[in-house]
Amino acid sequence: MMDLHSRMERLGGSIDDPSATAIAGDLDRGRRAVRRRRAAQIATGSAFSVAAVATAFALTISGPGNSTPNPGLAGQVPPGVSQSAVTGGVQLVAYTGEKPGRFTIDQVPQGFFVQNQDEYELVLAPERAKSPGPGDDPASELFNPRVYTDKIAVFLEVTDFMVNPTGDEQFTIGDRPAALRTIPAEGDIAGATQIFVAQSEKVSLTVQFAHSTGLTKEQMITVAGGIGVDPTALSDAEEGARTPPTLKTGNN
Amino acid sequence: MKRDRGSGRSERDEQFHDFVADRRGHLLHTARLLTAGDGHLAEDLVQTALTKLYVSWTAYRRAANPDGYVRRVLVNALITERRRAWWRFERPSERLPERAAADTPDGTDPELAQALGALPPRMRAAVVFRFFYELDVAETAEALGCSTGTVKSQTARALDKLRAALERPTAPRSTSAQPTTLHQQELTR
Repeated sequence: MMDLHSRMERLGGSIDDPSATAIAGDLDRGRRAVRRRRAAQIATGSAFSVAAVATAFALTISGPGNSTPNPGLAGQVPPGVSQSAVTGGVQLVAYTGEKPGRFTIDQVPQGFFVQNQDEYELVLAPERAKSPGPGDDPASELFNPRVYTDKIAVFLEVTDFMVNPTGDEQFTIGDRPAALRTIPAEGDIAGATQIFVAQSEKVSLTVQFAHSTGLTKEQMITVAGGIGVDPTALSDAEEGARTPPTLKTGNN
Repeated sequence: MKRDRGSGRSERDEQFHDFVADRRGHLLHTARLLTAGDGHLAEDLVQTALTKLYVSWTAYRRAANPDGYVRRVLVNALITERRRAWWRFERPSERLPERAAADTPDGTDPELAQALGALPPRMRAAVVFRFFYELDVAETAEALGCSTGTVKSQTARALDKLRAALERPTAPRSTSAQPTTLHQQELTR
């Protein structure tokens, strides 16, 4: 009689060596994922700073929205961070542009605009990403709204899925647990900093800053602390964290 | 899709390549069990887990228990599979992922697949790691991100449910396999 262990072994199928194509696919997906998470050129940080300061930023009127900003942080410096530390090479300014669909923003680096917003993410990009200049490559990452190179990316993650949700440093923003994780540069891939701000037991707001943005740690905390999450977005993410996966029957 | 600029592989690429070549088959085997025999979902799960692993390769290399690290990533991918597209960077592709030629053990044991599929994901993972791979309670708890007490209760409940499901009379046309009675020894170890 076949016991359960043997039946499970059969159900798991044969253990075959992967094809070269499969390995290459895994490697390619991994590299693409890293590239999304990291900035491409640290060296462009200083150049960007000059460009950002020199560029006028058109502001429009903000709607009130129905978001839930992080408590005690709207336009304020987080506890323990001095006002002088916030004034680095890049200036933070109040964001008064149109309210993104699922988030609210209190402050952004001067010259940054909302390059992309959808149900997945919010991407803030420097002014020069609005349109390619004479010497720019239109196909470069800067102009791709789904690539985070040189930008600030905002998205929600379920903490169960985060490999390192506690980051390298733990602190609080307002009354919320927060963490900061530094992703060092490696090879041709530049570094980034991620700040996680707990939204609930299972959902974290992750704000990723390409190092090339030139922001100080205190400025990044200020920006991350000023981002609010729409209640609908949070409840959707919560639902996703609670709902067990269902088994697929097809190929998609 | 954009291509990497670098022409050569980094040290991480080399290490990751070797890891995938050595471990992908085993991961897929585990993933098939975690997905109750769904070969396509298992492939998605492995791809997701490997992508996560590549992104956090340094952390994996530094992990005190690398195997445990991989199991945790795999389980996390399982738990969040259904709604992942909502909040993750990885988006559904218009193109189907590459499939290994014989990655779906369709029809090998539909009763067991159905019984496993009826378990909640964590419970299924508990029984796979604890019962099938014979990990100890602490290792399983690490993979599931829960307490050792939870592992014990989840495993016991899972085996009870499997026993009940597999001891039901088998539908005449569904398989040639005989109804299976699990040994009490298996259920209690």
